[in-house]
Amino acid sequence: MISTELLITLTNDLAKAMTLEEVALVTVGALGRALDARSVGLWQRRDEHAHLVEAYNYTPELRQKLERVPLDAEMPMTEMLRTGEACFYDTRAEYAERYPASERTTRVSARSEALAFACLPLVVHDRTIGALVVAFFEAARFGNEERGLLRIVAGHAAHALERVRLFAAERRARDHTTRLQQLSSALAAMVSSTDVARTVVEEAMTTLNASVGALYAQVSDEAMLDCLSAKDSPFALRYPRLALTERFPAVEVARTGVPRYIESLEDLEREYPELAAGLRAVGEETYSIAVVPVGFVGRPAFLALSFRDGRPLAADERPLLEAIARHASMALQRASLFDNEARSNERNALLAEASATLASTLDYDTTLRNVVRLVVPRLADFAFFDVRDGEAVVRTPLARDPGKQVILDASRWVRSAREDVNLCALSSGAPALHPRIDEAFLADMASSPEHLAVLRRLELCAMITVPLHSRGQLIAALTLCMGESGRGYSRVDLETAQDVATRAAMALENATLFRELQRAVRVRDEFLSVASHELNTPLAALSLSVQRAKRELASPALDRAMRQVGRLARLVEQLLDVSRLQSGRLVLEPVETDLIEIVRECVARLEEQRAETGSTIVVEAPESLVGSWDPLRLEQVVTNLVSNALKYGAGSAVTVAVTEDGERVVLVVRDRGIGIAPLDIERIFGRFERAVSIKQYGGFGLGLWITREIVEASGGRISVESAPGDTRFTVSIPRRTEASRSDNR
Amino acid sequence: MTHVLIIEDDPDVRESVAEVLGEAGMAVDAAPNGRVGLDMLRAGLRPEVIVLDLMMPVMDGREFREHQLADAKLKSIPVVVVTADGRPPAFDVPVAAVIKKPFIVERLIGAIERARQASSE
Repeated sequence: MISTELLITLTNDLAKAMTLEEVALVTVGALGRALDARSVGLWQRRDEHAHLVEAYNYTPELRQKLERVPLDAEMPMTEMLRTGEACFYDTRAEYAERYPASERTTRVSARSEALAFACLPLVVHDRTIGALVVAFFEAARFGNEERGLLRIVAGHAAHALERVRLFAAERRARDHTTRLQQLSSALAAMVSSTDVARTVVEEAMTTLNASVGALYAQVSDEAMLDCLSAKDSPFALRYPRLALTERFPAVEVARTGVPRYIESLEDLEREYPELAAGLRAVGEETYSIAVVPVGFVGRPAFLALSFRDGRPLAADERPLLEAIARHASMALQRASLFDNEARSNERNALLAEASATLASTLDYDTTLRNVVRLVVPRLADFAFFDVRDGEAVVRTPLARDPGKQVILDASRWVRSAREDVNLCALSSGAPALHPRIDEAFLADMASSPEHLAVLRRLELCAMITVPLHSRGQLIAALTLCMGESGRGYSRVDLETAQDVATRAAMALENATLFRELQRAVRVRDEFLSVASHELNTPLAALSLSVQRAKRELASPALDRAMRQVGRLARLVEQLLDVSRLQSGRLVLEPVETDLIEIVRECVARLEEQRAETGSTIVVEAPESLVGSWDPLRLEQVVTNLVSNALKYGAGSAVTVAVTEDGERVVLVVRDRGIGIAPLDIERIFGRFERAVSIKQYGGFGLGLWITREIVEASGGRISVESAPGDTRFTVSIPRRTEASRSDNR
Repeated sequence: MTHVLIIEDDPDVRESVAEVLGEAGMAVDAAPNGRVGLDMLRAGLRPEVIVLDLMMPVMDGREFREHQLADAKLKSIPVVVVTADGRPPAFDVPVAAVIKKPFIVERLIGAIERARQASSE
């Protein structure tokens, strides 16, 4: 029956078989043909069942009946699988006697009934891994030789099956390794948590044949797990956030770091009825679940896979899933670090910009606008900057969305009626963080239905408010809000807001002081204008009247009156000048001016004073000397110096000498009078450079102080040399004066 | 004979100036503020020089000057500004002269004459 030829052919063919199915096909085919058997069947033992892998000459009905037989069935094959002992039935009658039920089932037709059976176990390493059943047309007597040869065939088949199993396992293992390496490479390039999550979910589902996958992680400050990626999961769609306190197996895995494998729907129903119900409610079918932790220190996370085909994860696939989980964990950690660093850099950049922008201006209104511009849109979708201004509060709002800007422009700051909820730091004086605002909170916040409607239109979903303090006073509040973008706020955002607020407080303080200064200067200038007018008008009338009277009547009294009017007029001018000069730099308006013409005019104007003193004035100067100077101020200087020279000159000759010295011009006024004491010179011209106060000029009147201020503001220097009988004031100024602006503008 | 219009709100100053200029041989008309001065000009008065104070009620010197420059018939009349304000800010369209109060009469007369001569050239 069985020849060595058969054995050789079978051996060769088996060696070429690469899969379970090929092995089975070769075996049953070879045996069937060579032995002229009625039928041959090969079963694999798996999960408490015998699965028919391949058959020779089975009818479709028979195939179906014997497809999947439980191991505890009453039939020769299953008994053999249980005991590991081959069995031989020479006649059908023998078989029927032993297994009446089975015999009846497998009896196909009365006609071609097999008459003899051989049941052989397929054994590898003392384990029965399958069964081979050969049926013969004729009643046979299985002698020892026949039994031995059949056993050899079974042995070959068993080893071939084992070989292909090992081969398949090895290929799977290599496959897994390759896929893990590819996953690792792919993840290495990713810096975003969502990218990592998506890749991991896809990879895990593909490799392990899952029907549903989801990855959740804690990404905010709240005790919540957010879904970073999910595939084909209605549950994840419905519940994108899970509380860390939830009684779900996945959440527990995230918390404890221990994987969980739930192998059947019954187990799920029994242990986690709420989850089972939840899954049913969203229409997600589940039969088994595998969940592994993918979090890292302080950041719980899980990867959950669900298998719909009723096959739970095989034992050798668990290590693979856990390896994927480890890769995922490292990648998420890397993404988190990268993210932190990016956000930290962003924050520093924002604060640096805040410092620069806020320091760039002293203008009050611009400062208010700059503050809100710094935070929208980078830190908020819209924001308010509420500043105390006396009793009132000035609100500066800014929104990313122009539609919302319109709403905000119409709003005003109102003291919150709610004591228990900190909505604005200007009411409470304290910072507050509302990381996520829901409908219930909005309803709570609103002070009226209209207010609630506005809050809804703004789509307010998160809020931060921080106070600004200056010199111990609460001066303002900055409130940041998230709306249409749906973003939330974290503790780090609150700190950033506080840092911005600190800088804003300084800038606001400076701007406020500056504004007060500007107001004070405006008031002062207005006063000076009015004072000037009020003093000069009667002086003008007086002056004209005296001039008129002098024409009608020559009288020394009138001459004196005229002189005093002149003096009064100069005094008023000096007083007003000093008033201006004391609080700011001198304002010069240079134009093309001929210095010599000015000198001549001044000398002409001082004619009366000269005549009285009996002095003479000599001018030593070129025909003209044009430069860029403020003529009125230059006039003051020349007049003052010459007038002093006449006053203290004791009737001597006064010389006014003007010379050029490169880009500078030198004016020397000289008299031969009583001189100035050295102590006085030192006092006013000595070591004290710029900061000489008027008090130091006591005795010299205001004129010399004003003269010095004008000369120095023009970029020049004034000095004096004096001895009794010879006094020289020397003024050296550049030919071109820069137009100067008072720092009060 | 130089014809001058003085626009000055203070009555004492106005009278004194009018008197002094009159004695210097000029024909003088006077108005107490810019509004009245403008009315007089629009009614047909054509002085050769206007002596203009700046700080006045009803209509001050600057506003008067704006109206004067806007009127084609009036804009060419030269203006000598006489003001108590020590540092008046500059004029967009320059005036013939700026004289500070109080002043020596000759200064004003000189400025008026120069202005008249310059405009007749």
